[in-house]
Amino acid sequence: MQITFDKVSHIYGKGTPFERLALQEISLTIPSGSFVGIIGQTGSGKSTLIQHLNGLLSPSSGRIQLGDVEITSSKRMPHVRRRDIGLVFQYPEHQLFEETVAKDVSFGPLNFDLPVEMVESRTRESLEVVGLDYEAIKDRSPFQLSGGQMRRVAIAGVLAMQPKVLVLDEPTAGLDPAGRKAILEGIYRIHREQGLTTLLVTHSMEEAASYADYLLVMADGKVALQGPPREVFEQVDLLKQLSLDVPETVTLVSRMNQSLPDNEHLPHSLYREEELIDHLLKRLSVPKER
Amino acid sequence: MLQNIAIGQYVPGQSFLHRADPRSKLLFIILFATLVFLANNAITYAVLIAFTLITALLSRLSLSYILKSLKPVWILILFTVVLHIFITKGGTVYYQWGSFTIEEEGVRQAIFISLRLGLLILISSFLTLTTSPIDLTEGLERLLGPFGRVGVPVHEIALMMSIALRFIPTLMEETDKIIKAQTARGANFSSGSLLRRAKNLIPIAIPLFISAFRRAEELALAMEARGYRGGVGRTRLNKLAFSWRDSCVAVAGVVLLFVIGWWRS
Amino acid sequence: MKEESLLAFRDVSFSYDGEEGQRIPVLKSVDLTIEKGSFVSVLGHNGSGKSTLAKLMNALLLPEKGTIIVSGFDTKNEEMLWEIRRHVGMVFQNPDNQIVGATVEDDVAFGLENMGVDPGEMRKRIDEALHSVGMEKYLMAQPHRLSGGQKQRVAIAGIMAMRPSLIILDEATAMLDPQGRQEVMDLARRLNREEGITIINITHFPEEAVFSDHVTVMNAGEVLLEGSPHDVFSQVERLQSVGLDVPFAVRVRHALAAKGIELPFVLHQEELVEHVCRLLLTK
Repeated sequence: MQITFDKVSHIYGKGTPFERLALQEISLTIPSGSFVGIIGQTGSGKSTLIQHLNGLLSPSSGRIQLGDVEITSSKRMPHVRRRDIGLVFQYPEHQLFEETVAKDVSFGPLNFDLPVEMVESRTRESLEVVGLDYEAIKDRSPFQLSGGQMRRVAIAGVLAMQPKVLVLDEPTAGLDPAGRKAILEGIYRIHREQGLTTLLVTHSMEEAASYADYLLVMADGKVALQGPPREVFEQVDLLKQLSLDVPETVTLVSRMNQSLPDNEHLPHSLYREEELIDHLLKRLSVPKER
Repeated sequence: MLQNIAIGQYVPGQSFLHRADPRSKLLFIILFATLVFLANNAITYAVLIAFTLITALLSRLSLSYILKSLKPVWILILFTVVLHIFITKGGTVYYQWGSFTIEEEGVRQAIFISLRLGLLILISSFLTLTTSPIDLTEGLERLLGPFGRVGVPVHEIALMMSIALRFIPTLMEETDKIIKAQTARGANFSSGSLLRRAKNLIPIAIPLFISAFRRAEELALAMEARGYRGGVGRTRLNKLAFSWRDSCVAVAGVVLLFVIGWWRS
Repeated sequence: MKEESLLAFRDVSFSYDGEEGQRIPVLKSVDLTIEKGSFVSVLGHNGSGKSTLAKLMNALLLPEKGTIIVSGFDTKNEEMLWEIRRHVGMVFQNPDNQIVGATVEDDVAFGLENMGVDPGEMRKRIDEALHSVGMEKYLMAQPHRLSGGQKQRVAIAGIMAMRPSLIILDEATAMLDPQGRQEVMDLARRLNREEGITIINITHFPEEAVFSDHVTVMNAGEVLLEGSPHDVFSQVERLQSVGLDVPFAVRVRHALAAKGIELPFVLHQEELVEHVCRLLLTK
């Protein structure tokens, strides 16, 4: 599903002493099927932006186009269309409430009045997609699971609605490296297999660099930078100015290029760790073979 | 947004009234309330009204804002007026229509009672408008301090109140987040029958309770780690200090007491 | 026990009750010594027992077997409990759930109030503590208006005011954004260097461990590896086999070395750049 923002602004608490401009004339287009990384500091407008995607917030001005649905300040999102946009909030395990895992996962689909048999098959499917054994887990209380499992159940609860767009707000926050990797790999697999349009909000440049094919850099309620990762990471100075890190791969390449003569420079496109290592291996092994 | 709801309608400021000690403000209100009930003629009421107006000026809050904060009690005052006009009898009959009369005593009572109510509410709303909840708690704790000797757990009550104050904004934010998360999963909170709506609250209430308990548990652990072991042997950071403003409040109180005592009939 | 050791675990075991009443072991015969003035990192994935380790250090939990000595006191000695807690400050994971006071000032005062410090002295110590964490401008601020990193710094100020010898950061950076994490780590390093506070940083971010004096890796309730960052992170396979990561430079060097490229062990990116560039230029 293609997503278009046309000069979208959002003001919190309009007309009160607490008024705050959170989004400032944002314009962007996200082609269907892309995996977008949204990066920016806390308070840069990332969360406000994604809440516009399924009508939790309406633009104060401007226009949003989600597939064939148009949202403006006066035109709200129709309830049934919310299903198309799966929104996974930060620490999604905090929204679990049912007695059993299966009931919790089916909460979404049931809200959209899907037939019971369909709900059950979707529940099974989405739990398996996030790497949980349906039979073993369906009747357990979600509150007796480990933190990582609870988060998977919560994500399954969103996937069970079979959205066309999946939006995740820092899905790996607070997890250890193994847990982070498992969640991200899972999301990436679903993204490809189900042909979703995926938006991943993250603080980690490494995560953005490893999975996204397009990056949005937010700062002060505006899109400061957007483009394919290779282009975005070339703007090292601008990113630093926004107090954002660049992936370690990018600093490594630019540091090496500082100490190397021009003809030995490494290409800036090497922002993925495996590609960087492959490149270094190639350059370093060649003379030995000769 | 939920987090912008102000508790106790406190409006931050630096006026005379804002900077007076909450203890003197609390004590003054008790005195004022007594005087309102002692007042029984035009002069004494006039004095009290004049005094309330001066207080309003000293708070440096806009008059429209003060009146707006009184909105919910207008109805109550109006109701009292109507009740007294029709029921209280005595003195000259101003108006008669069948067995229905409006008499002097009724009008008199209606005016005085509504004035009393209005004055009491106004003066106590100055307290909440100019004192932050934190200072108010602190002031209450100090004033109730002596009751600690007769077994009232003043210290614990005060700590409870201040922790509640501390967590209200956090839980508001949390509620907002949970509502949004469930809405994103298709929950609909604004339509359906009353029963259905009540049932719709479950997906919000349960996560909220669980989170509140988790927070409470973690907070208890953090408090213990920082050496909390109940009120015994505990000291308090002394934040409240009387200033010349409080002397003014005390003088005003005494003067008011004598004036009302002298002029009342 | 050595003269300068501040904290020592001797053969410590701990377990808790499982759902069906069985005992689930969390720590198994752990021996550990923390030197005074050092900066120690404890790495481990979720459920490795590292948080239990932290709670045992200031007597929030007591060992089932074995002894824990803090500044010469056994944590089982109830009379010294409050002295131990004053010596050993603890910063928890969730910044929201450890701030007690409705203002920053109130919160920093909390520990001092518990100790029964005189109000005049309290005022002085609050100012000092807030100054030492760089939050003096926020004296009257309400905690929910602060960023995650700032909240954790306030929590650290609350501990600093109690003049501790040891601060335990129990995954204190896990819920923070990169900026907040940086703030907290910079502060911890500075307090260690300038004020001589011993720091134990319990974390699952390997990057945070690179600058410590000593690294302990926990797995399944046992100490898996222990030593200098160099010693520990050179065991890349062992760390990865228990679901832990290693710093970026270590990872890259390891991948290159595995393919037969001769590179010395490196911890920091700068070293990696230097060695790889030298190889590229002399090939």
